[in-house]
Amino acid sequence: MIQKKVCMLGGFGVGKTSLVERFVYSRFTDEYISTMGLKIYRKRLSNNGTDVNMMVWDIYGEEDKRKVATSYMKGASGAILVADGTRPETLDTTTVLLGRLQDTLKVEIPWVLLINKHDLTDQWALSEAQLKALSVAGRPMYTSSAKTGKNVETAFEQLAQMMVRV
Amino acid sequence: MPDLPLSEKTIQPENDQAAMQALRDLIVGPEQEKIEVLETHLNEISHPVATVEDIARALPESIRLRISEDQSLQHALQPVTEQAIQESVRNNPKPLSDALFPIMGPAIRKSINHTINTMLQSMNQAVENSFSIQGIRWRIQAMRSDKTFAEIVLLNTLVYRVEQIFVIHRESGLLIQHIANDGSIEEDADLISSMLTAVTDFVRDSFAPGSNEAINNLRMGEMELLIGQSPHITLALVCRGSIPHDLYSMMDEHLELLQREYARAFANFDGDTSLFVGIKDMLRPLMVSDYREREERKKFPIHAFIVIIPVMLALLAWFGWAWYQQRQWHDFIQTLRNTAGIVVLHEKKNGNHFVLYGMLDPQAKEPVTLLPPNLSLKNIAMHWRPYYSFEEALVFKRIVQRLKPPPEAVLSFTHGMLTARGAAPAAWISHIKLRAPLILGVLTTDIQLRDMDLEPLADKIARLLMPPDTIVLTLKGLALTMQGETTQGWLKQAKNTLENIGELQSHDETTVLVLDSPAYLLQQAMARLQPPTGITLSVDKKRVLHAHGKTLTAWAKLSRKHAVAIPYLASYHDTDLLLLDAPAYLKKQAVARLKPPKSVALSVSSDHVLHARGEATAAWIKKARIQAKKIRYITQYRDGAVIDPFDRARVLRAARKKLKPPKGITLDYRQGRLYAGGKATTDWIARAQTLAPKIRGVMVYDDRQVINVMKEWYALRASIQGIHLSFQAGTATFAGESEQKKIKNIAELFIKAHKLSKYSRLKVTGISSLYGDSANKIASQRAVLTGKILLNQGIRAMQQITAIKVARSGWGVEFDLVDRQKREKQ
Ligand SMILES: Nc1nc2c(ncn2[C@@H]2O[C@H](COP(=O)(O)OP(=O)(O)OP(=O)(O)O)[C@@H](O)[C@H]2O)c(=O)[nH]1
Ligand SMILES: [Mg+2]
Repeated sequence: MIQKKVCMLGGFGVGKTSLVERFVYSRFTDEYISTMGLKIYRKRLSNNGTDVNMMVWDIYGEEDKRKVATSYMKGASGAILVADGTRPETLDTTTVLLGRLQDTLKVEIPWVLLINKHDLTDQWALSEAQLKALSVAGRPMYTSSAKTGKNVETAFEQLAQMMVRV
Repeated sequence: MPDLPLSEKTIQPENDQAAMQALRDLIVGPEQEKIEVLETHLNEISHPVATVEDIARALPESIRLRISEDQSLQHALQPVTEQAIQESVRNNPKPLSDALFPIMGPAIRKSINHTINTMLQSMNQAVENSFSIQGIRWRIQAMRSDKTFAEIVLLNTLVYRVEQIFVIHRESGLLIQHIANDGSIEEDADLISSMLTAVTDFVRDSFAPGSNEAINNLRMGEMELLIGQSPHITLALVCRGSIPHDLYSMMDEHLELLQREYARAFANFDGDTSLFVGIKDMLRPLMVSDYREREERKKFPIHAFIVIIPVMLALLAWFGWAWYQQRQWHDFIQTLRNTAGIVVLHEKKNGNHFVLYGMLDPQAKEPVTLLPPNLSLKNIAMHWRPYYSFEEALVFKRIVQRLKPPPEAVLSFTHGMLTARGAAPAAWISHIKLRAPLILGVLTTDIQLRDMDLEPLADKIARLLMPPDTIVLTLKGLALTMQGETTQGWLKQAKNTLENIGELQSHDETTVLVLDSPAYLLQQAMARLQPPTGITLSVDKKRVLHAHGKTLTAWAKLSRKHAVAIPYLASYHDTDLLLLDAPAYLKKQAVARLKPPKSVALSVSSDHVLHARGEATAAWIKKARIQAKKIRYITQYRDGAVIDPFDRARVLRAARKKLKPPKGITLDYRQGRLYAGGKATTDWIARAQTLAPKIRGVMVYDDRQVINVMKEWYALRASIQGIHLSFQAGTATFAGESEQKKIKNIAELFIKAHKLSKYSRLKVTGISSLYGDSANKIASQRAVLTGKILLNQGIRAMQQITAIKVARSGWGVEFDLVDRQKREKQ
């Protein structure tokens, strides 16, 4: 069995915890309980016959006053970057975090970008064109919803695949 | 589910009032001086408006403002804050461990509980059943607290123990190996591993940022975590109890060892833990523990017991010992009685002493060796007289002692019979034969020993001959006897070989059965095939079996089956056999007896049924039936297919079947002629003329006596059609007297027609030449009138009356004859 550390990275309240909870326990709640430190989840996946034990580190959301500590990023084999489709500025946060991640690890690791809360259609603030622009150059990007489960498993499984291939 | 709330809790202390107060003191404390200076300063510049209280009120706001401008205040405060936290932790680590405990504690505690429980299962039982005062005390303790008895025992006896070991990849926090005290598998070990890493990272980042100094000890409730770190891995020991100091150094040693052994693998770790299975055994020595009965609270008020117990114990011991001795003696006597070669005659107890009289075979076990351990020889007197026992075991001992058999000889003794097998020197063989019957207890002997002196010669012969399993060689002196069965080839070769063995004086193979000799094969064939009289068997030099003579198919078949099974027989030749019940033979017989005419064919089926088919005279058929019964092996004779073509009954039967003559036709047959007579329709007459000559036996078909009824009928119809009735114009009154006569004539004609065909119907049609509605009426009246008259003449349901109006003068009624059957058929 292969173990891999995966970090959930993104601004506060974008739905990192919700996505992990959806993925690991298949549940969702509308309540917002902001993550204070971090919480570690485990999920066993099977990828082409290889068992992958994913240790998912759900880290608190990046805020101006409270940046995500690099020590939590160390040793990660993959990352899920999460932005909130109803708050386009959270996309910038993911860019910042990706930069910090790569500076910390000194190597490129597989990652997947999720633009979350896609179910909130009336508040959705990104146009099709903007989304298209984001997904250029084969960047692994999905619109997702922790509420409906849209693309959640797909994203994690793709990440697992990329990590095992590396 | 509490997330890691540590930072928020300690840095935003509103969650914890006491800590908040402490923190505020800490933060503001060092500033107090500055505030005082500021205050003085303010006072100096004579602005007494702002009091200390004002500033205290303004300070939080100003700090907030300052922080929103830039971070310099934070930077200034940071070391102070952190130092303060550290100080606080040092003074009272509880808040911190309380903060850590929620995540780590339950997981570790859960698994450790499990460990303790399984480990204590056995110990628990031991203590539970004991009546030790301590045990009872622990029980009470367990009852008072909410802990299980097992836990209490552990708490009281355990000095320390390493429960679990985690080997963690330092950077990623991934679990490399996990070992549990009881070998169990901790489901959440990987989670604990990651959490532990997160916690230590957090602690380090919070208290000693930048430094590489790691925490090496975390306490959580009753558990303590020892943490050691090398560049690549973290080693965490989950311990219980008070840890001896050398455990730290042991841990460090192992850490170094691991680092040395696996440095490269650790550096390249990609999550695949399979490379590290060996670590488990390397770390086993760290799984140390120490249990000790705590010696405490020895004082116990038991004055009464101090006096009573020794007395009671002494009494008990004395009775016990006497009873015990008696028992032991009894057991000893029992053992002696059950031992071969020992007979206990009399046994008694004299005060402290035991006395015994008995008989002892010299070969028996020494009685003293059977004495129980706690029975002293000092108190025993034994008197033995010698005797010879006939017990098998002892007789056998005697035999072995007297005869001293060589190791190659195997002796056994049962039911008075001495059996000797194996090999021995010739001298000893004669010795045993002579001496054995003289040994006491030996009733008979069965001695079959190979002469060891002849063994080399026997070996040589066996080696040269290589006899098959079916051959037994016996060497008596220098004479060899060969017994058993073999083939000609082997025997011939063996004889040659034996001639060339010089040491051998003679050899005898006369009783050997030569399996492939014609004589033996014939004997076998006779035995297996059991030929009936009339059959002769012979076997030729080529080992072919021949059978001659007369027999039945069943035997021939069976003999083939048996012949195949005879070993060494080359083949079986039985084509010379005459099979008395073979169809071909039986047919010949049948032809000879039945003498069938050329027109009859005979055949015999495989089930011995004789069939005859063809044509023959009735006389032959009858005779053949009698003859057929006389043929042997014919089970049945079937002649259904033989016919006499001129048999009257048969021909008539065939004719009736083929021609299906109607009721009015009679058939007869005489000398090849088929006669038909009576009335028939044209159709039938024509059909009979074509079919009749095809019937076997019909040479001529004569139907001159057949009358064609249809011809007559048509003649009658023509007559009927030619008759018309005339009426007075416009009435239903006949034109004259003659009309009544005509009706009579019609009736006669019709009766004739009806006799020819019962389906005949008379059609009466009323006609009127008038126009208008009354025409129909008149036509109908005319027809009805005629019908009535006909009815009176006896022509009943046969008439059919219709009325039509037609522009024709003269006639009032027309007649027609119709055949209803024909109509129906159409
Ligand atoms: N409608 C909708 N709501 C979502 C979705 N994902 C998360 N939320 C809601 O958004 C809020 C924040 O979600 P969290 O999962 O706690 O966000 P987070 O990124 O973990 O936040 P921090 O831990 O504070 O950084 C919660 O009220 C969720 O119910 C989504 O896909 N659709
Ligand atoms: Mg969260």
